[in-house]
Amino acid sequence: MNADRFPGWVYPVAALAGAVVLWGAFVSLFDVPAYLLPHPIEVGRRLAADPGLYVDAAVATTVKVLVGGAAGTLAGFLLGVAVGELPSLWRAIAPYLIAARVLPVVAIAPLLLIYFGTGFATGIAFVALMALFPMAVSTAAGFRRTPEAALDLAASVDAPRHRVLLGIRLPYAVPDVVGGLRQSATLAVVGSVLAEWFVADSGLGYLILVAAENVRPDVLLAALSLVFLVGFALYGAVDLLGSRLRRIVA
Amino acid sequence: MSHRGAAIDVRELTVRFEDVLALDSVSLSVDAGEFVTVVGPSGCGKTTLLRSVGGLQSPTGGEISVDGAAPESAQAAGELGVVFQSQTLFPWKTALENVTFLRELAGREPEPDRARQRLVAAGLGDAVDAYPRELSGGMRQRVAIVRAMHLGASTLLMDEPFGELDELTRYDMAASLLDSWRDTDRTVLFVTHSVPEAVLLGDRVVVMADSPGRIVDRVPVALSRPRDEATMDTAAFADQVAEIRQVLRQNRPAEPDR
Ligand SMILES: Nc1ncnc2c1ncn2[C@@H]1O[C@H](COP(=O)(O)OP(=O)(O)OP(=O)(O)O)[C@@H](O)[C@H]1O
Ligand SMILES: [Mg+2]
Repeated sequence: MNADRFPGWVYPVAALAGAVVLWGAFVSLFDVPAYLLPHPIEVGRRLAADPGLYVDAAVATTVKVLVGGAAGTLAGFLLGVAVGELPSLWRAIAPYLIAARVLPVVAIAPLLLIYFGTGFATGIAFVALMALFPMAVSTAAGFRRTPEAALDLAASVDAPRHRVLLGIRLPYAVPDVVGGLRQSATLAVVGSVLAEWFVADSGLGYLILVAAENVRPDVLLAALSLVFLVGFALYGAVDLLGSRLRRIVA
Repeated sequence: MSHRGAAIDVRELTVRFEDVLALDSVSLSVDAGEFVTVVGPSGCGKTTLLRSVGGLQSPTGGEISVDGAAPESAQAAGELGVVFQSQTLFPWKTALENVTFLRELAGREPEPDRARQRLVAAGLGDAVDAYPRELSGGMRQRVAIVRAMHLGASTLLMDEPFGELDELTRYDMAASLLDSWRDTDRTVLFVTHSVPEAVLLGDRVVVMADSPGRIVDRVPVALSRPRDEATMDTAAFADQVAEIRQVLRQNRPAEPDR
C-alpha cells in the first residue's frame, strides 16, 4: 500500500485547500450575497488591507493562550500529581474536579470580572481555569494507572517515595498527561476567545464581536481564520511534544 | 543445617481475603543458603506465601521473620530479591537499564558493567540494549531473574520464574540458576508448577494443598549436587518425582457428588 506516499502534514493541508476551493465555488455558483458569506478571496483581501489590525489581535490572543494555558496546565499537572500521590485527597476532591468539567467555566466569568477587573489578568485567569481541569483529571488518572506489580517491585527494596514518583509513576502516567495537554491546549484557545468576548478589550475574539455587531462577515471570517490558524499551530506543537514524550516511555 | 540458622522463619501464618482462607496456619523454616521449592495446585496460596515473606502482603495472623527481623527490615536492607509471577519490566527501559534500575531504587550503585556481564552469562548478550517489547516472553523473564540477582540480595523469592518457557529453555534456565546459586550461597524460596523442576532445584520440596491453603508435606530431596540433565534420567530422580506427585494426588479435594 502507498499510505505513506506523502508526509503526514500534506493530508490536512490538502483537505483545507479543498474546503476553501469548495467554499469559493459555492459562493460564486449560487451568487451568495457578501453580507451572508463573502468569497474567500474577499476575506483574503480584508486581511491584506489592514494587516496591522489582525496581527495585533492575533498576538494578543496568542499571548493569552500561551500565558494562561501554560499557567493552567502547570497548575493542573501539579494538582493531578498531588491527588495522584494522596489517594484520600483524590477521594475528597474527585467529584468536584469532574463536575468542574461539566459545569461551564464561563459561568464564573462575572466573578473574575469583579476580582480582576476588565483587563489582561481576567483573560489570563479565565484561560488558566479552562486549561486546569482537564490536565488535573488526566494526570490524576495517569497516576492511578501504575501497575500494582511495579509498585510491589519498588516496595520489595523499600524504594524512597520520590524515586517511585519520578522513576515509575510519572513515566506510566505520560500517555494520560499528553492526553490532558491536548485537551488543555484546545480549551485554552476556546477560553481566550470567550475571554475576549466578555472582557472586550483586545484580540481576535474582540474583533469577531465587533464585526458581528457591525454585520461585517468578511472581517469576522478573517479573524476566525486566524483563530483557526493559532489553534492549529498550537495543536501541532503540542502534538509534536506529546509524541516525543510518549516515545520516551513507549 | 547451616551455622547461620534460619534465614526465613514463618510461624502459623494465616492470610484471609474476605471469604477465602488463602493460607491457614502455615509454618516454614528455611535455612540460610538453602534452596526450597514450593509446589501445589493453582490457587493454593503459593504466591500469597511468597508475598508475605517478601513483606508485600500483611498477614491476618502469625509471624514472619527474614534474617531474624521483620520482612520490612530485609526490604530496607536490600536483602530481598523478588521475581514476580507477572511481567514487571519497565517498557521505557532497555534490558540493561531494567537490571540496573532495581539497584538504583534500592539506593545502590547501578554497576552497569557487572549487569552487562550477567546478561551475557544468561544468554542475553544480543538483548542487552533491547527494549522489553523487542524480547520474547521467556527472554523478559530471564531479564527479570538477572535483575533480582544483580540486586545482590541474600534471599531470593521467585514466583514461577520459568512459567512461560518451553521445556528445553526451562532446563537451561534452571541449570544457570543452580550455577549462580552455588557460587553465591543465597537462600532461595522458589514456587513452581512443575514437580520435576522442584526436585531438580530444591534441597527440600514443600507441597501445598488448597481450600484452605496449607502445607501438607515437606520432602527432602536425596539427590547429590551438582545436579544436571543426567540427574533427571536417574531412577532416584523419578522416585522423588513420583513420591511428590503421590502426595499431591492424595490431597486433591474429593470429587463433588453428582
Ligand atoms: N488480593 C487478593 N484478593 C482476594 N483474593 C485473593 C487475593 N490474592 C489471592 N487471593 C486468593 O487467594 C487464594 C490463593 O491465591 P494465590 O495467588 O496465592 O495462589 P497460587 O498458589 O499462587 O496460584 P497460581 O498457581 O495460580 O499462581 C486464591 O483463592 C486467590 O483467589
Ligand atoms: Mg501464583
